[in-house]
Amino acid sequence: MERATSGAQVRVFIRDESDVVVARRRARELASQQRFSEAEAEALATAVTEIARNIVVHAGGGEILFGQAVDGPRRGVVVIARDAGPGIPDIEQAMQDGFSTKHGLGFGLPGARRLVDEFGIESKTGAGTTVTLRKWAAAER
Amino acid sequence: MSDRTDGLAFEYFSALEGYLRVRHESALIRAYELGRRAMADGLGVLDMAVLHRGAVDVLVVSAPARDQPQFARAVADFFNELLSPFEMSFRGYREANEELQRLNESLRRQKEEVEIVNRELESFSYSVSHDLRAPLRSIDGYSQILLEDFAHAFGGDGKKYLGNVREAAQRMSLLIDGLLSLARVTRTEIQRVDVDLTALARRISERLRAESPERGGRFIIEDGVRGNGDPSLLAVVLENLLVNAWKFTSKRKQAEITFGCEERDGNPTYFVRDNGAGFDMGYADKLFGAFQRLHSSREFDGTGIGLATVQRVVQRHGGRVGADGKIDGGATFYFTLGGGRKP
Repeated sequence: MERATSGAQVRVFIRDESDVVVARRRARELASQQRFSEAEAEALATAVTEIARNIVVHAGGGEILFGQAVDGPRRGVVVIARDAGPGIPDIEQAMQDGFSTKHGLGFGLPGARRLVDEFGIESKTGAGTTVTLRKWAAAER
Repeated sequence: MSDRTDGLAFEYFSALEGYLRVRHESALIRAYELGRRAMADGLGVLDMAVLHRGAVDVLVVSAPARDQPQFARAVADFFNELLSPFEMSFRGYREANEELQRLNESLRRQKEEVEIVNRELESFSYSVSHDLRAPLRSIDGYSQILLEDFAHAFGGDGKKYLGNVREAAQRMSLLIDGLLSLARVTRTEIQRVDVDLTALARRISERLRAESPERGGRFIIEDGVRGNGDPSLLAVVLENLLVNAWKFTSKRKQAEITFGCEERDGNPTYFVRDNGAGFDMGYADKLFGAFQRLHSSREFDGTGIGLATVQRVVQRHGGRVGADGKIDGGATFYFTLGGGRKP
């Protein structure tokens, strides 16, 4: 899981809406350190908002780790969101838009997936969910 | 503006005002949540632009001139947040659209394959039917020779059996003719022109009356009925429906057969109504299947291919066929011709 992660990790505990605010700020800070464009930084912040919201709404609490992602010459950000909530019984279904009315507009987990370069999700019923996002800065402009 | 957008405008204004005082993430997330909610309420990106401009118009007045670059930057960041949910959703729609296009493409390919297989099947049944005719002609022809030239060699029963052989052969020949015409209907290219259906129906009805002058009854044919379709195929449809109606009223003293056009569900719907033997509506779905017959051939002769041919022609025009009836209470067959669209 940590293949492309290095440097200090930042941890943000997620319990309520105010923690979502903190998580977004961390995402923006890292994005700017990795020389993300404004649009890339905004996309990352949006994805982090959705997975943080998901933790608040569905798990009641959890944490998000932020780190620098390195892969050869590429630089990016890795985000790992963990919770010990009820878990997702059917991930494939949860990743489809329209699974619930909340996701019908392409928000939530499928929305977050489309805003980043790599998206992974693991979940066990009763044991919680881990979502991993990676987003790379575009090559030197 | 509705109450809903009024409320949204006020919330956006106060969030932006707060953000301009203290550039804090918590104000930005309010913009994000507002955008998310607006999107779920069915508002669009241009509604967001109106919302934003309304707030900026007021707030720009109180921004000191020296702070203008920072002001411009801050309101742009704030507006970004409002639009982010729309971007997220847009990506979802784009992805779904690509998936739909892929599905469409594979459906189109499957349809082409089915059409090829169908064409092969049709030409197969066409050539088989065609080839069956020759041996059948031999069976009928030689039976006829036996009956005429070797009658002395057969007893009464023998002649009767040979007669049965000929009857069966002729009946099979009729079946093959029906199959061939069904196959032809499927294979011909449809030419759509304006067709005078009244004239067509009159010609057919006059011929039917001339063929059985001893029968009573009448045809009531509406004036000025026209349809857009293939003239020879529409002739096949009317021929089959009118011949059917004529046949199934043969036991009525006063047969009455009506042809006309009426509006049904907004579509011109052509109909042939008779007061003949009718049918059991419970079997209505079987009427249009090839070789399906609701009456025995002893009662009314026929091959069971006529209505299948009618259905095939109408479907090829993009139209629909249907029937209403009651045992001994007459029947009405109706059809539409599609809106000039390609089937």
